[in-house]
Amino acid sequence: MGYLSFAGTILGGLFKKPVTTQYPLKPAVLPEELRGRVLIDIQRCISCGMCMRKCPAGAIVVDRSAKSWSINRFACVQCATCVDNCPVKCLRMEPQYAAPGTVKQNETFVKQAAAQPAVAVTLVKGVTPTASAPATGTQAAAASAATAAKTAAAPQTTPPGDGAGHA
Amino acid sequence: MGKHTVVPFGPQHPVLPEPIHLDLELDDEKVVRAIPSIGYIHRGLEKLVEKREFKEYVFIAERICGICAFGHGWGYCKSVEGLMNIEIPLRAKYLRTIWHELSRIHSHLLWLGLMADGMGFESLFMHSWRLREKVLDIFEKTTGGRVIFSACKIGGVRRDIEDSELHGIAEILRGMRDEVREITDIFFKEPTSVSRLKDVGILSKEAAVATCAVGPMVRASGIPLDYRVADTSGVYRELNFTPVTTDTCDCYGRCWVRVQEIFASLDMICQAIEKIPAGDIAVPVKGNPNGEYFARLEQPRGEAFYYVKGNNTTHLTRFRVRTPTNMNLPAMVEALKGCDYADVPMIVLTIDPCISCTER
Ligand code: SF4
Ligand code: SF4
Repeated sequence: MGYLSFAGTILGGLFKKPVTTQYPLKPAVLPEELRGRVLIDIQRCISCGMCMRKCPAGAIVVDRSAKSWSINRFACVQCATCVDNCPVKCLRMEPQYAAPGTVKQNETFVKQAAAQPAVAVTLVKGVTPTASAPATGTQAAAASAATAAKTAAAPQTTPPGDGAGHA
Repeated sequence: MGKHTVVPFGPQHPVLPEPIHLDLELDDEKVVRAIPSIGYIHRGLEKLVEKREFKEYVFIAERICGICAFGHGWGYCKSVEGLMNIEIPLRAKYLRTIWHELSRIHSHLLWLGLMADGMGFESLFMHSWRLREKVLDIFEKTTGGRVIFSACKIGGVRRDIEDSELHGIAEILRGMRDEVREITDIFFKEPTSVSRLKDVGILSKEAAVATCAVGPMVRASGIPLDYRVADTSGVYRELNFTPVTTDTCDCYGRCWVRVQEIFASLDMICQAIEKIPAGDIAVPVKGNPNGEYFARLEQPRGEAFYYVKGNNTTHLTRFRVRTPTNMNLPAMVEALKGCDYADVPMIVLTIDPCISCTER
């Protein structure tokens, strides 16, 4: 009897699906609420700096004069405090995590003058450039490549450890 | 008189998931003395309280431990709320209790897996972690994080769980009960695992009291010491709950206590879901903390102790955590005395050591 039940277990095991997620083969199912990474709709940002002041990791740098918003994804702890504190609700949390990178650099978004489409500048290798305004379409993403080089020249690094937003 | 040897054990050791070092003094195969030393992963999180505003520090407090993350966040919030005389809404208390008890289930299942792995029972290890995964999925859906929830804040909680979702969770947990039973029965009936656990690592009732052990360690020595009974920051008093104890005083008893606590927590969460009232989930926090306060909380590994001191500024001046493992190390040393060398991993594992939270 013992052997029979054992054989049953083996046969059952042969035909059962694995309980683990078949991740690279099938896309991962991410719940909507998952705090993956912070995204910004830069056109709606009023550069108030609230997110920068409230961020516990000091990962965000807002430059009022340049109308830019940049985030150090390696410092961000995905707590969503910035999302909760943004007065115009232009920040949101995406379930998809930020892609890994080899260089610790900030990802900078610059607000464009009203008529032009928003441009997302991506400095972290592998992160998909995000054109935040839906109207911008693919041209904006393509155009961003040129702007990227320029913005990269301006150093926007958050000091490691103690955040700049805590002065 | 046997041959006297000193065997270094850890901090890197195949059966040891935690960086603790033990100098084991052996007489032949018997351990006569064990000298623990820690200090391999000190992170200085307590000191950081001076650098971060007290509301932001919650996120750091959570990172004290990767298993009882929610508990440490809660413990910190609880102590600051006590200091500032903040009474949090009842719904927030319920949600905190639900998340904390879910953490307990996840912690105990994780531990069960490590224990099985420690004795070489690989399939039991995998099945425990398979069940744990269901709890992690609940966390992911309700808080947005699998390990670090960032759900607790001073004054309440940051996220609500819809009632329909809560009932879905209760459904999942009811389904889990049988699966957990199936797995844990193997643990207690399988002769191989029983022989590794029974009468191994005896910690007598007197020794448990003398070494100030906490959590499942002391409850397995027949002392019903569980802070949840007295806790008013959660809703334990409204739930039907009695501390799980046994008086076998050995590794088997400690396993048994943890397994029964999984069932107790499953039960408690279902009760809490039935009773949860509607209402606010947080109250606004005004002003800065001033003075001293300490709070206690029953973590999966035992009672933790939180101390805060403020000086009416946005930064606290002192935060101190006394973690359960900290208290259980002397008890472990006591239990190691006189055991066989081969049983050392079992005994070390049954205290469920969490050295990174001990060193903060
Ligand atoms: S999610 Fe938290 S850590 Fe990340 S940028 Fe926002 S506030 Fe800072
Ligand atoms: S809080 Fe919102 S509006 Fe203000 S700077 Fe940050 S993203 Fe822009």
